[in-house]
Amino acid sequence: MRTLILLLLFCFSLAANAQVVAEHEMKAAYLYNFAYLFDWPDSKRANFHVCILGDEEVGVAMQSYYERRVNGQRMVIARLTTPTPIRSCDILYVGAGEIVNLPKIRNILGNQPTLTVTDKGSLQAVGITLALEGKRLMFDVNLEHCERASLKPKPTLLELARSVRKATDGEIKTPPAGR
Amino acid sequence: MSLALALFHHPVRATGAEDLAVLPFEQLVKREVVTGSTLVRQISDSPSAVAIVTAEDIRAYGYRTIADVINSMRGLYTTSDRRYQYMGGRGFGAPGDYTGRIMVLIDGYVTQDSLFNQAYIDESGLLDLALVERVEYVPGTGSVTYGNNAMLGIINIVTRKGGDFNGLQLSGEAGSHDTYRQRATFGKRFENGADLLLSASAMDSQGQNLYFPAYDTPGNNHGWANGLDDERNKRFFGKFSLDGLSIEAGYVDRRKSVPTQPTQFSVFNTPFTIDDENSYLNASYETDLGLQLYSASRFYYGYYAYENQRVINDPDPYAQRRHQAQWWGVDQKFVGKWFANHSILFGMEYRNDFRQNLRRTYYSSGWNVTSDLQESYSRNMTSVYMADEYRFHERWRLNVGARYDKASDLEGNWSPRIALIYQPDFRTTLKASYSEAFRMPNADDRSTYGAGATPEYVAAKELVVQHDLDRNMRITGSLYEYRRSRQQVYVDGLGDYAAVGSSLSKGGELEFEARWDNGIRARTSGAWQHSHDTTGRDAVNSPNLLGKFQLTSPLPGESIRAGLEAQYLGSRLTTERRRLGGVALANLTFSSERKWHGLSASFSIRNLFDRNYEVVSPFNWAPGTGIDALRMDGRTYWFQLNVDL
Repeated sequence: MRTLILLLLFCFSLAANAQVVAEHEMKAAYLYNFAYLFDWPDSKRANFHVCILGDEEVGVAMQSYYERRVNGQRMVIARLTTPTPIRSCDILYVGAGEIVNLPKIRNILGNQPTLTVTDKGSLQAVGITLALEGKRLMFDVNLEHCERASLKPKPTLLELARSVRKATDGEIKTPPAGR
Repeated sequence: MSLALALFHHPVRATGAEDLAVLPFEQLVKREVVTGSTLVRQISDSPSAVAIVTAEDIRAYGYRTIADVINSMRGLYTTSDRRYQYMGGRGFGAPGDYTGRIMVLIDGYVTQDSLFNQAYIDESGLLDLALVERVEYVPGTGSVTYGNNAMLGIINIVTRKGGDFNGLQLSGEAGSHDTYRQRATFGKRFENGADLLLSASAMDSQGQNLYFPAYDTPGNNHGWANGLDDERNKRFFGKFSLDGLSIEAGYVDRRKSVPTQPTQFSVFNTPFTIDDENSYLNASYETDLGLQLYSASRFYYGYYAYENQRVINDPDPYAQRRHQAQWWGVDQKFVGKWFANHSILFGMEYRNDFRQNLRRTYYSSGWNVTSDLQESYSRNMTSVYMADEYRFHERWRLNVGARYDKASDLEGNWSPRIALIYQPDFRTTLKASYSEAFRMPNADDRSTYGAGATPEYVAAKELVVQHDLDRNMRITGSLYEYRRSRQQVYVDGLGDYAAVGSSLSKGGELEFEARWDNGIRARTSGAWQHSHDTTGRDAVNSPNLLGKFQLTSPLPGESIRAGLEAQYLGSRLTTERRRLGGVALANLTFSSERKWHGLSASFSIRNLFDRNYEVVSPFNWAPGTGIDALRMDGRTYWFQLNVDL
């Protein structure tokens, strides 16, 4: 019993000085920023849909951005279990749990303007991949894929990307951010 | 900042996320990130401290049955009477109490049979451990989600995918006491995402000639039961999944000889066999109906048959039991995520136990039927449930839920749960919960207690702390109290059983878990429990102290992994209130770290130091002779070889 109380106190003391950003919170923050860093095709929908598939932690962290406004639309977070309704998504984050379904996801979406984001796997099939390098969360942009989906990344996004893959030249490195 | 937020009428947000949201992207990308834990994460979002054993652990520590897995978990232990393995923990686990006051699920299917509400965790269980991806133990009552029976907690078994095997695997095992097993498993993931897993296995064990001091009389073969410890089983399993659809079926038939003398009517050292047959079909479909509504639909069917043959001490010397049960059910569950801070779960279940037959037949020495008693029961049950997880602050969640179960032969019953969850930071979670659960009388209870068969209840309180010291290490602590009521007790004045008993268990558990990048994993836990039974005295077969220690590491050369496990079972009382001393047992396993031309192998030594020890037995027909304890096996060996074709 005493051990547990000590443990409790210990946890609280640790909690007090925690000033670091957890990986899943950072991912959610990136997804939120991506909403602003693209020119989206005109949409008639009142809501801007950010969908999280296959990662409960990112999904929960993303809830903090619920109902923020993006280009006049209301941001709605959808934590999905299956890829069935993904055609309604503006941004779709595919977590580790659903990465095996990527070919299928690509099939469903076709060339519709949905920005797909993943952690792993080849950049080929998605718009942006996130990658941890040292203690920084980096991202690579697949311009070819974005263009096909009629998504126009803003210059800021391309500047800050670790790499940008273009339609013709394969992979072009931008000035390295970080190390 | 919070004032500004209040003015703008935003929902309350914690500063961490708020900082990130207002930070320009240029600065955000420069922020340092702390990666998530390397420790295995729980799937179920339960207001309790979940313990998890993965396929990796199963291999590293050479587990062969779900009972082995349970035995390795914090605060749990199993007891064998050489018929079945029984599970105990947190004051549950009275001698002979079938593993039934906990719910054991395989991919969401409730495995308990509908006659005894027993979950089969030994070789009579439905699954080969090679097919198991992970086992989660969720302590705390689970009636709010699963209704009937989930009094102590839930054991959730998740099976592996066909893609994990990706081909044909043949496996052969050999172990002490002439034990052999063969298994063939085929698994494949197809281009279109479909996944198929098929498996069949057979186990055959000669067993031992066993000596029982308690039965040692000249008329009883001096206490030796010869050739009466054999066991065999057959298992089949198949699973197909595509998109949200999953169809799964399993079958097991286990036959075991009983070397003991369970009752005064049976005759020692005569053939006594029991046969348990279980099968099920579980079909489910899960999908998202739009962006905010998740739906899971399920149909299940179960079949159970029990048969025993034995010699009894009666002019008509042969007895046979043949029991059978069949049931089916449907469950429709939704999770609505319409509101940012609410996750609303609701659904209903219908279950029909349409066949519950108990049959006892007695034969004369010339094998003519002298008596044939049959009883039939049935029950159908309709349940509705609802729960809301309300995130009223970024760091606080409130989980409130209730389930209502109405059985055809009983009054309706509510099982509520309320839990408060606090996450001061992403590494720490505190959970406090109160819940109530119940257990309906099963067919066997109805046969035993007649009109007196009524539901039994438990109210549980639990406080849990979970803290990740860093990404490799975690501490989990919990304090609990279970109050059980309306238990069946024998009332002398009445000359019969009555549901008037109540009992209390309190305890605490502390676990440390680590998983380093060099392949070393460790877990150690201690559990203290104090339980009173319905008489107000210390509960029988409820050790006050339980300790577990597990360490696994690749050996130099990186091709072989060693797994060492030690378990301490504290002293506990027998039914005759004798105290059996505490015992520490060790198991050692070596397994190949990677495959060599498709070959992999594993070698285990169980009870490494050949300790002599006894467990509490459920037999009580001859007080004073020592039948209240049973000696367990000494050192045993086990070897497994797998070939991937």
